[in-house]
Order: sequence, then C-alpha cells, then structure tokens
Amino acid sequence: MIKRHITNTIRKLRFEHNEMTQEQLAEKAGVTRQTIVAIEKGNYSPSLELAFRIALVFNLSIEEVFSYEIEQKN
Amino acid sequence: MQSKCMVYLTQCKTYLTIRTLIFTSNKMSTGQKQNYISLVTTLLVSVPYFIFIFNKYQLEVLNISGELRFWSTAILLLIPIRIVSEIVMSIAGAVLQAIITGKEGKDLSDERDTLIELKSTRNAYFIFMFSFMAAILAVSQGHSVSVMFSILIISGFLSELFEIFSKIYYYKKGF
Repeated sequence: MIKRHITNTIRKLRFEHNEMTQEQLAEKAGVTRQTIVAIEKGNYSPSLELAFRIALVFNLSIEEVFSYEIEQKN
Repeated sequence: MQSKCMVYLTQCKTYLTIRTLIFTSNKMSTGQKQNYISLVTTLLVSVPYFIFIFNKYQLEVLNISGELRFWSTAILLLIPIRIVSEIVMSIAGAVLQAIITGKEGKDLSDERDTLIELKSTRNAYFIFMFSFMAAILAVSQGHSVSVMFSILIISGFLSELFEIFSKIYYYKKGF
C-alpha cells in the first residue's frame, strides 16, 4: 500500500529561530496556535497560501519547509 | 410567575457555572471549549422549549388547519428565541471571561476552522436529509401532520447536536 503525506520541518525551524513559540509563529502566519499544532503533528495539511506564509516567516522557500513524501507500506 | 423566574435564574446560574468550568479547563483547545459552550447553550434553550411545546400540544384539541398553524408557529417562534438566547448568553459569557482572565477574548478563526465548520455542517445536513425523508414517509404512510412536524423539529435539534459533536471531534483529532 502506498501512503502519501506532507511532512514539515516547522518544529526544527522554530527551534533554530530563537526558540520561537507556536503562539509567535501562529501570530506571524495569521492563524491560531491550534492550527500550527495540527500542522506540526502532521494532522492537517495547510493551504498553499498558508504554507507560503509559514515559509516566509522563516525566510525560506516553501520546499525547504514542506515536503511531499510517498511511503511504501506492506 | 415567581416560580418561573426562579427556574430561569437557576438555569442562568447553571449555564454560567458550566461555562466557567469549560472555560477554565486546560485540557481543551479554544475550538473545543467554544463548541462545548455551544452544546450547553443549545441544550439549555432548546430542550425546555420542546418540552413546553409538546406539553402545550397535548393540552390542545386541534383540527388539521389548527395543527398546521400550531406547529408552524412553534417552529417560527424557535428562531427568534434561539437568536436572542445566543446573543444574551454570548454577552454573559464574554463578560464572565473578561472577569476571570482580566482580558478580552480573541475571536480568531482561520482556514482550518472554516474547513471544520464546513465538514460539520455537511454531517449535520446528512442527518437532517434522512430525517426529512422520514417525515415525508410518515405522512405518506397515513400519519398525522403533527408526527411530521415532530420528526422535523427533533431532527433539526439532533442535526444541530451532531454538528457540534462533529466540530468537537475534528478539533480533538486535529482535523
């Protein structure tokens, strides 16, 4: 079975950016903290616009923050 | 009259107590809290109204046009009652929240909230759609108009509850 999902490095990036809190990132991206929590956990895939906004907060390109993974499961 | 006022006061006090308990809980997200409060509001307003309407119906002897008038008035009256009670309870809740925390509550919603709202509304419509069919089926099988309206009112209430529970589930799950 093939499983596809979007992964991200937000947690690592927050840590590298002066240990930015989820609340601070949420405020900068214009969403609620719960949405950031859901994205970090991989429970929610953000819209393209939100993905760009999050990438912009870290001054990175979108593919440096988000990646699309295909997992092969037996 | 005095006993009725006492019932209303007790109801308001219960509502504010439950709301405070939900609001001060640390185990829930804001979305979950809002929906639990919404659940309490719905139960405290709709259930007494339905009991009042069904009791009133038992006491009245009506012909077919009288029954149609009775049920349509009951449904139409529910709309302003729900709107006014929602406004009053949200104002009371906001005041209470400001007193407890000392700051105004932020009403921020984003794309995830919108998606959760849409998914929950879709779930609620499924329930109401089947109930609507059941109501039509009841009339076609020779049941009275009051049975049809009872099914419609109850299904409207159940679909509202289902919408709230769906939201709570999605907020708990993440999406």
